[in-house]
Amino acid sequence: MTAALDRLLGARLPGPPDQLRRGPFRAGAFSSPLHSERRAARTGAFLGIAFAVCFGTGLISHWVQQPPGWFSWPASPSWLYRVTQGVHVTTGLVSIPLLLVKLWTVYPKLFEWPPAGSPSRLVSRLSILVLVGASAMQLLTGLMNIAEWYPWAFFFTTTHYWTGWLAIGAVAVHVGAKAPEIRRGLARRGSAGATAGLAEEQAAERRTVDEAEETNGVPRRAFVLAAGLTVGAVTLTTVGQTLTPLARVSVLGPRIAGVGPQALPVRQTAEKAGVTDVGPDYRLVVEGPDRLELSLADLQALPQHTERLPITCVEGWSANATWSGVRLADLLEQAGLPRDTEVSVESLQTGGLYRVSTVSAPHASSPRTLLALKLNGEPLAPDHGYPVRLIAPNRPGVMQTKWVTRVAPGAAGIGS
Amino acid sequence: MSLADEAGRTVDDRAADRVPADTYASDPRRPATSALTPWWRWLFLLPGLGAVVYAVQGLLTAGGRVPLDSWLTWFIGSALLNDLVLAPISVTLGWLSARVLPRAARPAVVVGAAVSGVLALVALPFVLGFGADPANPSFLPRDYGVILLALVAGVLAVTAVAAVVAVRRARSGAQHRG
Repeated sequence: MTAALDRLLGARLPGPPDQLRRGPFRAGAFSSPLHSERRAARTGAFLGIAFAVCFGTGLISHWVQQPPGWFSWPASPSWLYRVTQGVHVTTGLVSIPLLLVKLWTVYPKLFEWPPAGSPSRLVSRLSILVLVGASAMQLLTGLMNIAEWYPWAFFFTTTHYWTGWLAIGAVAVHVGAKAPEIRRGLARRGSAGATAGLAEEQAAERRTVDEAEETNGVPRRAFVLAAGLTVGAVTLTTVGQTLTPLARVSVLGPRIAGVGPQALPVRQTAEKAGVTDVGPDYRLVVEGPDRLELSLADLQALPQHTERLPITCVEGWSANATWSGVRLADLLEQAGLPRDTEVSVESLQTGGLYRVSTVSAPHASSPRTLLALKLNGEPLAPDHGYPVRLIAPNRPGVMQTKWVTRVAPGAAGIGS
Repeated sequence: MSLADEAGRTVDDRAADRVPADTYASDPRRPATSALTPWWRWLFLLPGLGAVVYAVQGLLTAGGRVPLDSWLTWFIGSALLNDLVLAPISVTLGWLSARVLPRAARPAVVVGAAVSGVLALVALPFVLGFGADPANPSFLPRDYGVILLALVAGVLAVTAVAAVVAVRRARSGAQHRG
């Protein structure tokens, strides 16, 4: 049966006439020995690790915002999400040079002749199209998201999630499909594993290519240095948006910790949210057996607590700030609710998918979760959520609801 | 063998004499279906296919949130961005450097060009600044165009020094030998 399958998969498909074989399609058009299986496997190993970590941390971020039934996200340590999301954005950015280097090493394969010599080559090339398309799209749109540039019609968050699954699936299929080549490419040069599964002539050619890498005009060392330095350059110029000590060093970071109204950067302005004129008729409603309707003065009269907590944006930037206000758990108790009730916190903002966020039990009961009235010693600026902003430890910024007007028991999904 | 040679092969002559009567046979020593080993490849292939199926059903059922024509444009476009723009630039620069530069200078110049090019690409969305909001000066607070120029100038300066040093060293080495 396998012989028949072999015939089917290996059958020669008619190709284009040889006169079309020009330019990059010519035999020997790409002469660098760096276009080798070994370079591809080794660059691919680093890229694969970066993608796996990026996917895992991205999945965590998704689950924190849209928790499946079995998922529980703790309220401590307060910096955990800062780490996972910082790692997510950094590995994503670092994957850009790694992917470009990887695609360069295999570039001659784009011009293989004939373009689809057999059904198995055709299937293989289509799967590579999915791999390259999904990976490149994830990284490109991810970078543009950090720059808040959205020249497309799809909703970024949803697309990023599904295309992420497509990309990681395609990477896994690629690793499975190329397993023998990967094993050979990762084996030490000159060892038996480096030519495992090859015919004698092919093994000899392979050894020649591996040696040519060292004596080439641009040798293997330069290739590895180029890959390493591009990764280092991208990291150093951007990671400071997460790692505050490097904030001034990372000159390409889109935000600087400490720069913004009340020394804290802003993602969404009050103007964009349509919440610019909050007057003395503002009330914070807490729905419970003893329903509360508190004015700003009422809130200011309650016991205040001060916490130092970060705003951690899903776009990767994060910055610490000092918040003071009323403990959420205290208000829940005052309203007759248990301190660990899962609650929805609603904003004065009328549109937008994130006007309501769900505060799960660990965060509601945490003594560090505040309905903040002051930021860094001053009453909240409108852009930071005047008059009241939810701030809880270990939570993405998009869920730290601004311009809070209502707290009610029960969960609410995104888009409520 | 190098990937370039593989791409250039039309008929695998090493197979031809093993199955002389069958012009459609691939090399029986490397059949297309020799797929069972290594065993761990299935730990990648099967979950990978599962993830792809999950992703496709998600995209198709996302409705208005993901208009598929826009998604497809960016999916294909991102692939083409590398294949038709970025990779040809690298390949052309590499070809030019082989013709114009002294051999000893090539590694340094390749490394410097790679770092400059990647920095320019990653910085581009910030330099263009289409996402900037005049009401929010805390976003994109820097002059990214100037910063990028300074970064690239710095990288190219270091590259030039490294290249000159390499050429001098190669020349003096040749003189000592000669």
